[in-house]
Amino acid sequence: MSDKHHLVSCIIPVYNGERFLAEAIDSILSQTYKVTEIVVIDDGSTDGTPDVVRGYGNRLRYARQTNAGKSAARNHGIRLATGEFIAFLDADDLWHSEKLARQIDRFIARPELGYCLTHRQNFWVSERAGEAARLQDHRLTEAHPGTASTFIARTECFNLVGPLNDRLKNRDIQEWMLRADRLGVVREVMPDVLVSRRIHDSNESRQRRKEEWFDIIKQSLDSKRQNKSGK
Amino acid sequence: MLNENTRLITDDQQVAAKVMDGEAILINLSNGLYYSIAGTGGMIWSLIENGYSLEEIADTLSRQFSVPKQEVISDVRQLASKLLSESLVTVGDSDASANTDSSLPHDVSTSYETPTLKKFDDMADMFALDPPLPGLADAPVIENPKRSQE
Repeated sequence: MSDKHHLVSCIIPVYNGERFLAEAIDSILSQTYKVTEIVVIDDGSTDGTPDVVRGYGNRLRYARQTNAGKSAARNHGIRLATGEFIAFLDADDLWHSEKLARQIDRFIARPELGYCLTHRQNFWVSERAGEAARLQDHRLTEAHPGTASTFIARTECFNLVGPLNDRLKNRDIQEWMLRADRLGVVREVMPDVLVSRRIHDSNESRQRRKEEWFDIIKQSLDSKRQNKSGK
Repeated sequence: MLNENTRLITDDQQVAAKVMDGEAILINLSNGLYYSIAGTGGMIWSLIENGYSLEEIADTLSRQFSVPKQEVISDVRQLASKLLSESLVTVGDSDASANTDSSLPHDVSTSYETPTLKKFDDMADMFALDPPLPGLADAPVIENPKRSQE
């Protein structure tokens, strides 16, 4: 790779995301790195999501599926993508304008690099300002390494590692990373804060995310025990 | 410091826990280490969460599995001191009383097995990526001097 002419497929999975989707799309369109295709996968929205997308005309690709979850939508996007790179952006998050440029630089500098993450900064919607104030000194108000919207990989990594596990609703990228690690795929976590993550979720969805960690851990413990008894 | 009357306190802001197939799985949310308590771990953890003292835990297990209480109490004490040294629990008020009303998980094991705490760090960097948010209702309240002056 010599120059910045590598197409990046930016995949936005969206479910009833009319409120913030335009901001997310705009944050891709205002990237300093311009060689992008935007693929919006509508996971069966029942709100005005299709109207938001229509407003962008042919500047993005749009596909709709029956509601199957965010990971299935990301996989759908990967199948449609034509780029050399796959990047994910959640419909409620924002990329900083240098995000792709800085990451593509890393791939150019490191031909062995398989995928790359960055730090991100949480911000709270106005209805949750109370929580932002309560958590003022909490580690979650500081920049921290993120997955999802910070993730970009060489498309060929998905051929090697396989698609995301779409039975997981939220921890799909971490689970993919565990598989990639086992295959020796090289990862870099950039210290730069290049993504803003909007916190507006419900207690229920937080609980669900925690539950999925237990499923991943349980699987890992079971497979450790199986390996041991097999030897 | 630990005696039979000790009651341990769990903190779901710091440690997320779930009993799966009789095994207790604990995640220390601040450092990403995770733990498994196999054997009768799941049952013991549920009893701790319900405020049982070490003696009450031993009593319950000894009746459930028909094993001598002396044997069980020493296992429970050992486990309790390991949980404390890993900062997975703290020592609570021994005069409190247990919540014996709530239904405890049906233990899947049929015979008593010494509970063993195992520690794993192989997912710590995965937890560091995308750390779980605390529950909304119980997010820690932090005193903000600027605000209280208003």
